Parts: sequence; structure tokens; C-alpha cells
Amino acid sequence: MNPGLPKMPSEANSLVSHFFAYARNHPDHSAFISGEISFTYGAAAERTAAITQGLSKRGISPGDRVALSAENQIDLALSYFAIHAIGAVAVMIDAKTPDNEKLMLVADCQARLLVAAKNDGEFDTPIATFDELTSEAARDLPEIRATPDSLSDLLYTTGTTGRPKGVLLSHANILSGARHINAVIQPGPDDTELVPIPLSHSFGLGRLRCMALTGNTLIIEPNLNNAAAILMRLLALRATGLALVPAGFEIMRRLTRDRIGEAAKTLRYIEIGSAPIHPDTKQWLMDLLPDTHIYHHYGMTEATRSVFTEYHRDKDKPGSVGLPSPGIKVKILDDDGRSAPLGTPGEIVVSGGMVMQGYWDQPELTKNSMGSEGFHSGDIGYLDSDGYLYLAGRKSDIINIGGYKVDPDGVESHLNQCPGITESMCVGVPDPDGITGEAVLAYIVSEKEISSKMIINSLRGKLEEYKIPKSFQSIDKIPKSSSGKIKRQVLSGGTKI
Amino acid sequence: MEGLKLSTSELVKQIFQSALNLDDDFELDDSMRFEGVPGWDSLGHLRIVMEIESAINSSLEMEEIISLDTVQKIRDLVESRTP
Repeated sequence: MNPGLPKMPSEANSLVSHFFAYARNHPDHSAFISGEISFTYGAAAERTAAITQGLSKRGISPGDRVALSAENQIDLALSYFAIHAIGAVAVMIDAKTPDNEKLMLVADCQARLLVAAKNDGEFDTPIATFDELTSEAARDLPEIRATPDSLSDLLYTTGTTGRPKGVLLSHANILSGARHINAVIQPGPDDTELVPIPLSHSFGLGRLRCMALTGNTLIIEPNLNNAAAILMRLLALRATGLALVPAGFEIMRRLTRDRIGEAAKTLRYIEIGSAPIHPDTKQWLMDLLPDTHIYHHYGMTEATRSVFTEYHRDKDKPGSVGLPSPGIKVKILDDDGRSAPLGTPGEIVVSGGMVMQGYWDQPELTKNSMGSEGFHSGDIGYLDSDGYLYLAGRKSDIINIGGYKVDPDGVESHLNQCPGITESMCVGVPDPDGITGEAVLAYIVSEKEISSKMIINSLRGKLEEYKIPKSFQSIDKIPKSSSGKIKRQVLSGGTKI
Repeated sequence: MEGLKLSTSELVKQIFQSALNLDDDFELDDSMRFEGVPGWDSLGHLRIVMEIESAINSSLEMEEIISLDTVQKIRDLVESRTP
């Protein structure tokens, strides 16, 4: 097939336009590697066109929400671009999300279609598999219908109200976000980057967006969830870039000891994010990879990656999360909304072209989060005289399990349905194994003797594995305010279950 | 336990139960891959490796760790490395 030139706006003002423009100019350049399969940019563009055509045939049009849920694979990345090409909104849902929650998310965003690797769930929404969408080759590359102001992504993030928050991003937002990240990391077309983190989450998706702007090669593979296998692929493919969460490095350190040092001559950059890293693991990386740029971001789905530290550069700023990316402003506001003096903690407020449009169907929440100074993160921090940001806590009860955000309310509602449990309260505590940063500790009020194994196994299948509490304490009653609201806190006493 | 030698099947079951908090009546099948066993994610894999290393009293090489993606392969490894 000779699909000719894609019909695009005069300038590439969206990531999907950049992707197709790069494919037009560099059709033979390697775009994706997944196991034994590899795709050039030309082949990737043609397959994206086929997916776009498949979506059109199913009636997808600009503004429609299309849910996308699959393990990492090339078709997941291409479907993301195809949804954008058509002007529809990509709703990324982690493949590991239990069916009941997936059902709720698909209904919440009123998705017109669910795109998946397999048709194995029971949904009211029509499902199209990658194979079905690509069953016919496209005659032409698609007309790019994305505009800077139109919505590109709806990404669900954990809320504290019992309802997930759907973060709405425009094409201008994600283009700006990718530019900010690339301004720091500076990947090039010759880079081959291994991305074992899920593309369905903001961090992984950010790497795909940056790739569309850079024209580099991404290695994305399903089931690459074993830290030793990740390192083996990194070494075998001589990858020059890697994106991974701190828990991944922690597991890698324990499983493979110092073998990441074998990548010292080839690995040009690492992006780490979503959670803090243990100081020993940070030092381990710095010692074994003395010439690798090791970036660690502070960010949020609502404002992509706002702040970066580079471990070697910032070795004299050990507790800091770094400096704002070029073009991004970070302010610290006190309780009255005024700028806090240097060194004084206050709420971190971020502004820049990457800040979201708001939350899906939650105008009040949007109003409360988006002030005249920017996005109110809910995190507490302070700036030093060199402009470095330090974190000092957060306003909400959200627990960060190795980068996955967990709403304790959601865990409690499942715990309270376990046989024998009358009430529960979950809090975040330091991970006793030292891997995931925080872990969930559940306080349980029970009417009969119950074991941790019984509780864990009754939660399995209903909650994602990382949300399941790691430790349990039996107590007599849950501390509550006079209005009956749980006063979430770490308690002394209680009996370990 | 001193003086009580477990069969390979019992040892493998114990490794999985300790590492992943599996139900006592969970039926572990040799053909199961990691995605079919509750809790066998990246963290679960680390715990399984640590349990194996403790059971066989030696460290595993990276290549061995990567290859362990089915119950059968873990059984074979435990069998070959148990005195």
C-alpha cells in the first residue's frame, strides 16, 4: 500500500500530527520493539491508519470517549494515536483493573467503545479487539481531526470521595507536557527506551507521548513484570533509556544485585517517578551508573511531570524533588492563598501549558482544584533559595504504594464486606519490606476470630493486588469524630492479626 | 522442620503459600503461569525467589530468576537444587 501523505493541519500542533509527520519523513526508522516483533515508523503509521479506519466504521467521531484497556503492547500505543487522530478521547484503563471497577469507569465516562486485546468481559459498551480493528488495511492515512483545544485524554486517578477523578487533558496539554519533559531528559531519535511500566498510567503514557515528539524507539512488552527480566531485556537490546518506578529498582537490586552496572556504558538516561526512592537504592544507582542521567520526577496526572531532579547533578540536595521543568511555575501558597516565604511549607500549586482542563463531570472538584495561580496539588512542600522543591506531606489521606495511589475509603468498603469484619480503617505506613515506600495497614473490628490470610483471599479479585493491606491489627473500635467520620491515624496498641 | 523432609510438591506449595499468602485449599497446578496465580506480580516474584533461596539454601542466578514463570519450572528447579 502507498498511503500517501496524511491530511494534517498546516503545522504539527498535536502529538499525533508529530507522530504521522515523523513517520512520513522517517518511514524506515525503528518505532517499536515488542518481543520478536518490531515496527518501523512507516509500518506503525499504516497500522494506526487501519485502527483509525476500524474506529470510524464503528461510528467513533470527534469528542467520543473510547476506553482502551490492555497490557503493554504495540497495538495499545497505536490505538492511543488512532483515537487521537479521529478527534476522540482516549480513556486509559489499567488491564489489571478488576472487572467491576472497569465496568464502573466505562459507564462513568459514557464510553462509546471499549478497545481491548481480547473480548472477555461482560460490558454493556461494545468491545472491539485490536485484531478486529486492524482486519482491513487502510487505503489512506487518516485526516488528523485533533485540534489543540479539543480533548485528547481522560485519565482516571484516585480520589478521596469514593468516586475516581477523570482528568481531562487537551491535545495542547499533552503536547506541552511532552515538550517540558523532553526539555529536561533530551531524548534523541537514536535512543531506544525500555518502558516496562503500564502505558495506561500517566507515567508510562508520558513516555509514549515523548516518543511521538522525539522519534525514538520504544520497547513495550506485555508481562514484563519481573525486575530481572526487565534488566535482561535492557542489557540484551542495549537500551539507552529506561522508565521505571522506585519499587521496580528496589526489586531489581534485591534480585540481580549489581548487574545493572553492566548497562553503565549504554544506558544514557533513566526516568524514575510516581513515588519516592529509598536512599540506599538511589545511591546504588548512582554508584553503578556514574555516567547515566538519572532523572526522578515529581508530578501528577493533572499536570504531568512538573519537577525533576537529576541524581548526580543534585547530589548536594538530597531531600529535594528538584527544579521545575523549563516553562513550568511552582508556587507555595499558605492557607490564605498568599505566597509562602522560602523554606516555609504550604500547598504546592503548579501552572503551565500542561495543566489539565478539569475533572470529568465534577465541576465542583474542578473549581476547588483550579485556582488563578494554577493547579492546587494537595501536596505540601517548600522551596529553598535555589528554587529546589521539597515535599513535606499531603493534605489528603491517599496512600502511595510504589507509585499506585490508593484511596483508603475504597479499601475499607471492601474490607467491611469480608465475613466477620464489622468495621475497618486503613492508613498508609512505611512498607515493612522497604520496597513500595508505603503499604496499607488495616485496623479491623471483627465479631469473630479472623486470620490475615482469610482477609487477603477474600479481597483478591475484588481489589488490585497492590491495594490489599499488607498488615492487619485487631482493635475494639474505630476512632471517629462526633459526626461519625473516621479519624484516620496510626494507632498504638491493637493485636496483630 | 528438623527431621521432617518435605516432598518437592509440599515444598513448592509451602513456598507459594508463604510468599503469596495463598488460601490453604488453593490448588497449585504445574501448568499455571504467573498470571494465573493470585499475587504473583513483580513483588510476589521477589518473595517467591526469596522463599526458594531460603528453601534450597543458595542464591539463584539472574537467568534462573527470569526463567521461573510457571509452577512447573519452579518445581523442576527446587527438585534439582534440593539435596
